[in-house]
Amino acid sequence: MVALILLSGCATAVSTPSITSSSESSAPPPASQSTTAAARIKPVSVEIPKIRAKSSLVPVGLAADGTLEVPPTSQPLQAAWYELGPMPGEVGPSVVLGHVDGDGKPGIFHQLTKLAPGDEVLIAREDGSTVTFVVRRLQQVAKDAFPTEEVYGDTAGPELRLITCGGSFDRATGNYRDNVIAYATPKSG
Amino acid sequence: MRAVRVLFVGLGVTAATLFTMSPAVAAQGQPAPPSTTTVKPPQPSAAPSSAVVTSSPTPIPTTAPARPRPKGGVQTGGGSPEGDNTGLMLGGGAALVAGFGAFALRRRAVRGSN
Repeated sequence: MVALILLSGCATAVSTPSITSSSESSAPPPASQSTTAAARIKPVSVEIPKIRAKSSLVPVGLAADGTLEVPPTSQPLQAAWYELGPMPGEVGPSVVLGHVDGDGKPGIFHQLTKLAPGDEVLIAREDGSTVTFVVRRLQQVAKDAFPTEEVYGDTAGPELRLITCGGSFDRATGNYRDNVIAYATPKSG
Repeated sequence: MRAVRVLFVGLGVTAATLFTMSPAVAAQGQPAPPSTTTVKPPQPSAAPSSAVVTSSPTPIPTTAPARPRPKGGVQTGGGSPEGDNTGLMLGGGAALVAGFGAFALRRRAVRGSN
């Protein structure tokens, strides 16, 4: 009877507002630790069904000049997450980035501009749980006018930013002139 | 003669000592434990085991720690696929034009000879 109750508890725990778990054997952490423990669970993969994008996630930090590191262009299908910021599911804007292209091939976020409000983004985490976000808006902005505060600034709850390149290609610098940013919040219910 | 007396007296004292000692003392050379033992009930520890579980948890900071923010835009493009093929397309186009031109000139030359 006790085992039945425990299994039922794990099953019902699946539907925390935006976090689902595929693990039924692990007991939930004590209430006093749940906030901190859940906040530090690393993401392992990202999936965007709308554009059929799916990739593992590698951590990136800051380059020497203070800009955000990116995966090598020789791996355009590799997405990354900013490990010095909030993790997906933690309060604050977590950042996932991917190339629009690289080495003459389409990148993992080549179709990011096709996202629309309401599209889902799934972030799988190392504990087996998945955080589902919903795209709220899409923004294309020149890199020299990048909205740092809007992208990395504090938020009241967990949020997600998907970033890639866009706009015209500057052959002189070898880079695109714009960034495409998708703003997403956790799926409720 | 006096030495013999002293010897006998010493032997007598020794024998008397041996007879007055208890068997336990003779065997172990130390006092025997008392025949009755008082067993004290276990004393409760200073802090019960449940106190460890119910100790107040470390307070969780309400303000998020300062996080480093990246500067500027993100360089997430390694060159568009179209851009990489531009040279190839231009070369192909030029070759096509040259081919048609050569064909036209040759045909014109044939007509002129006739």
